[in-house]
Amino acid sequence: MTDFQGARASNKRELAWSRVLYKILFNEWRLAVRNKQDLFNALMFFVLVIVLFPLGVDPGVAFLSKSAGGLVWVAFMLALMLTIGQMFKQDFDDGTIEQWVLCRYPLFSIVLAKVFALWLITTLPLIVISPVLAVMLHMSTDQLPMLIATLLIGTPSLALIVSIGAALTAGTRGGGVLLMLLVLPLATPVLIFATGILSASAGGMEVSGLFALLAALLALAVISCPFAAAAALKMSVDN
Amino acid sequence: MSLCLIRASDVTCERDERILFESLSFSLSEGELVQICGPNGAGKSTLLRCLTGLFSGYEGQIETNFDEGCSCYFGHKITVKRNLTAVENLDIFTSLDSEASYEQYEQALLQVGMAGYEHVMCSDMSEGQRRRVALARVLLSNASVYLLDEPFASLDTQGVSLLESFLKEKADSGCLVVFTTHHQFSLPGLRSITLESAHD
Repeated sequence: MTDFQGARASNKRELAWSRVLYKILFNEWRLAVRNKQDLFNALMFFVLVIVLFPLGVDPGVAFLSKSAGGLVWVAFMLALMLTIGQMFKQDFDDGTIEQWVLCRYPLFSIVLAKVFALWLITTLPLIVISPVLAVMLHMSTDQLPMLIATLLIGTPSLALIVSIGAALTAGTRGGGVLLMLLVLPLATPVLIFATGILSASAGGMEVSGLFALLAALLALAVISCPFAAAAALKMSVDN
Repeated sequence: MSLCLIRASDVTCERDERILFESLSFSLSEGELVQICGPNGAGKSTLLRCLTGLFSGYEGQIETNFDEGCSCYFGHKITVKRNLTAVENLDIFTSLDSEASYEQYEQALLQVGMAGYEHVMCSDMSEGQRRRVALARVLLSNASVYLLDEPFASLDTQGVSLLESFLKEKADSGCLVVFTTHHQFSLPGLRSITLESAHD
């Protein structure tokens, strides 16, 4: 005789949620260190775009100093898509996502931890190197703190938005173009506000309002993107 | 009175206009050792994915009666990261399920015949060895429901007998063990669910 009343309760020792998130962060770091090529790809792409741009267009100070902020941001955005756009591919192929879906911890928190880890590992080096490249593009030194501030507030939003596209294309072959189509419309507002801040501050205007909007986009991305990416991951393994 | 952990009622699954299984009804209780049998393409793996909740493309009802995260699933994708060592793999995947110490990782690897490979990168291992590392994760699991898809594949005779006794032990301790395999077993108390060939 069988009884279907009263669910079987768990009696095992569980790790604290924070400890699991720490393990995911540390693991991403370990994988990134062992797979340095991926890190250098993004860095090289970012540097090459910025170095080659003046050669192909106009190396004049007047033109470059005006377009430096926008150029750094566009190159940054494309480099980010290159790295974070593929963030779930490996996990999908080796079955990690299936284990995430089945585990007791909320999937959105795992996604958030992974995006944060990748942002730290792949984006921070680009932020560190961007003032050097901006100076090379004749950006005035007064503008550099502003550039770094926009990158620090804006790029986490971009990483979170790209994670949705990465989750949607995790199970597809060669989803690069699809990723761009999905992500670019959502990521463009971040680019517009960030470059808006840079041109407004270059013109001597007040930028706190625009900064608030960029920060609001980040808040919106933090509370919505991990849930969307988690739902997309569940869909990707449902076949 | 044993607790029913999974109840399937009238489950039908169709893929690419082919019916894999039709009007399948069964209840699985704690302490049961269940083998899903059937020819290739009969839908054994799909049925297992339906039971885990990973696949929702079926008609009918599957009720589960255990807490979220209380199941251990071993699928076609063996969940071994090639850029990590055996112990690192066990650490990252076991932490999703329960807490284990380094000694327990060593013990689990010893049990699956992988002693001495603790710090070897999984990219340097053969496919069979990687499957053994993945099985070590299953051994470390404290789940109450085990859903294993072809766990005996790529295992040598010693590995098969080890896994057999592990599954029997788990079933005796009150866990539900469901697995698919083409091997023939004569384990006492083994229950079979047979799927026919898929048809149009």
